[in-house]
Amino acid sequence: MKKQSWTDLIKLEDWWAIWIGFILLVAVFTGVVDSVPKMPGWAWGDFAALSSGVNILSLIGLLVGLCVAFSLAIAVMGNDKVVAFIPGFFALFLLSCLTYIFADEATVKHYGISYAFWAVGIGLLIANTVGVPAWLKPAIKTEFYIKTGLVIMGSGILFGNILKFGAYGLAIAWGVTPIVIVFMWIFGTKVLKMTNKPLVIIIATATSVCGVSAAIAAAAASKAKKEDLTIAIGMTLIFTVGMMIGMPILVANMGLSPLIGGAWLGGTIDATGAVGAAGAVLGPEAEAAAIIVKMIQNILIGVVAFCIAVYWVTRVEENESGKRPGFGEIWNRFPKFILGFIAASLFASFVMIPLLGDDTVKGMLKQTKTIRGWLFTMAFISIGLDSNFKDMATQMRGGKPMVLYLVGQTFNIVLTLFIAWLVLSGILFPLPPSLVS
Amino acid sequence: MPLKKTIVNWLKLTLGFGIAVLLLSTILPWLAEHGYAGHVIQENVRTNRDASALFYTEDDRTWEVLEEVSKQKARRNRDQITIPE
Repeated sequence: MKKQSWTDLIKLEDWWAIWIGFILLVAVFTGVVDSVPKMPGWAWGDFAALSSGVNILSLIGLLVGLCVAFSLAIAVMGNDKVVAFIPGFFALFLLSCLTYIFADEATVKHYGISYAFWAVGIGLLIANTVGVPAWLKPAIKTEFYIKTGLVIMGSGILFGNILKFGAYGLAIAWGVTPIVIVFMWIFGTKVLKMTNKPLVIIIATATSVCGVSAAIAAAAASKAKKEDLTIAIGMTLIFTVGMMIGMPILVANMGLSPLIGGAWLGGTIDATGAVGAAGAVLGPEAEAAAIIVKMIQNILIGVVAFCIAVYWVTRVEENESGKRPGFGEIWNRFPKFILGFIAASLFASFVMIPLLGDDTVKGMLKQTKTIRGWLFTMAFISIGLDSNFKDMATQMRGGKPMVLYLVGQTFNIVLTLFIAWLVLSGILFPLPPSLVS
Repeated sequence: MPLKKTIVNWLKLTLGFGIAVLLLSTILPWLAEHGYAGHVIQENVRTNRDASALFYTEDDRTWEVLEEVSKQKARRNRDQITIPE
C-alpha cells in the first residue's frame, strides 16, 4: 500500500484540481475576476457579429491565466516538463475557440447540439485523420481539466433550491434516479454481462441524472477510460436531441396535464437546455415543472459521484484485487477531487449565498460556469484527440452499450411517468398549487 | 509517413470540417425552415432559444424561470407562481 504523506497535497493531480478550482472560485467570488470572456453568439452569414464580438485581449488573459495555473501544478507535481506543456496548451485553447465558434452558431443552439459534441468531434477528426502532433500530446491532460472543471461545477449546485421547490419535485427527481441507476447497473453487469464496468456506470448515471455532466463525474469517480466517456457522451447527445423533439409530441398525444407532462420531461431528458426547450412548447406551466424537476435532479450529481467513488474503491476494485481494502487504502484510492466538488457546493450554498445574497451569487456563477465551460471544452477535445475509432468500435461490439442505454432510458421514461402521475395526479397527495396563475 | 497518405489524411480532415460547415450553413437551417425537425425546433428558432445547455447554470432561461418562482413565492408566500411568457 502506498504510504500517505502531506506532500500528496502538492504532488497529486486530484488535490491540484481542488486548489486550482478554489483559486478560480475565490477569484470570482471576491470580484478579482468579474468577467470571463467567451466566444460570441452568431448566425451563419453574419460573420461580422463573430469577428466584432470577440475580445481578443480578454481571451489572451484567460489563456495566460489558465496556462500559468496548470503549468505551476505540472511543475510542482514534477511528472512532466512545463516547457513541453505550454505550446500544446496554447493549441488546445485555440481548438476550444474553434469549438465555441461552431457551438455558438444560432441554429446549432436551437437544435441543442452542444459544445461537447463539437469538441469531441474536432478531437476525433484530428486524431483519426492527420494524427496528433507530438508537441500537442503533453497538453492532453483530460482528467486534470475534467476534475478542475468538476470542482468549479460544484459551486453551481445550490442546496437552497431543494427547499424552494418542495416535496413533489423531490419525490419525482430523487425517487426515480437511484432506482434507475441500480436497475441499469444490474442489467448491464448481470444480464448483458458487460465486463467494462466503468462504461456501465457512466451510461447509467448519464441516463438517470443529467446527461453529459453526470457522465463526466461518473467517469472520473470510476476512473473510466476516455473511450468509455466518448461513447456515453455520444449516445446521450444524440438521444437528448431526439427526446427533446419527441417527448413533447408524446405528452400532447397522451393528454397529460402540463404539470405531469413537464415533470416527466424534466425527469427524463438529459440536458437542462433541452428540458426547458421541450417544456416551453407545452406552455409555461410545463416549462416551470420541467425545469424544477431537472434542477432537483441535478443536485444529485455530487451525491452520485461520491457514492460511485466509494462503491468503486470498496467493492469493484476489491473484487478485482481479491482483497478487502482497509480505511487507509480506501482513502488512498478515493478520488479526492470529489471532496472539492462537494466542498464547492457547500461553500456556495451555505457561505456565499448568506454572505452576498442569492442574486449576487447567481451573477457570479455565470462567470464560474464560463470558466468551467472552457475547461470542459479542453477536456472534451483532449478526449477526442486521445480516442480512436477502432477502440470505440471494440467497446460498441455486440451493441451492448446501446442496448443498455435504450433499455435503461425506456425504464426511466416509464418509471418517471408513473411516479409523476402518482405524485401529481391527486391520487396519493393533494394536488399541488398551479405553477402559473 | 508517405506523402500520398499525408495528403489523403489532410483531405479527410478538410472534408470533416467541410461537412461541419455544410451542417451549419445549409442542412440545419433548411431542416429548421421546412419543419422536418419537429415543432420544438420551430419554436426554438422562433423564440431564439438556446437548447444546448448541458447543465442548469448554463441556461439563462432556467435562471429566469427560477428567479420568477422565487419572487412569486416570496410575494405570495404560497406555491402559486407566474411564469412570464
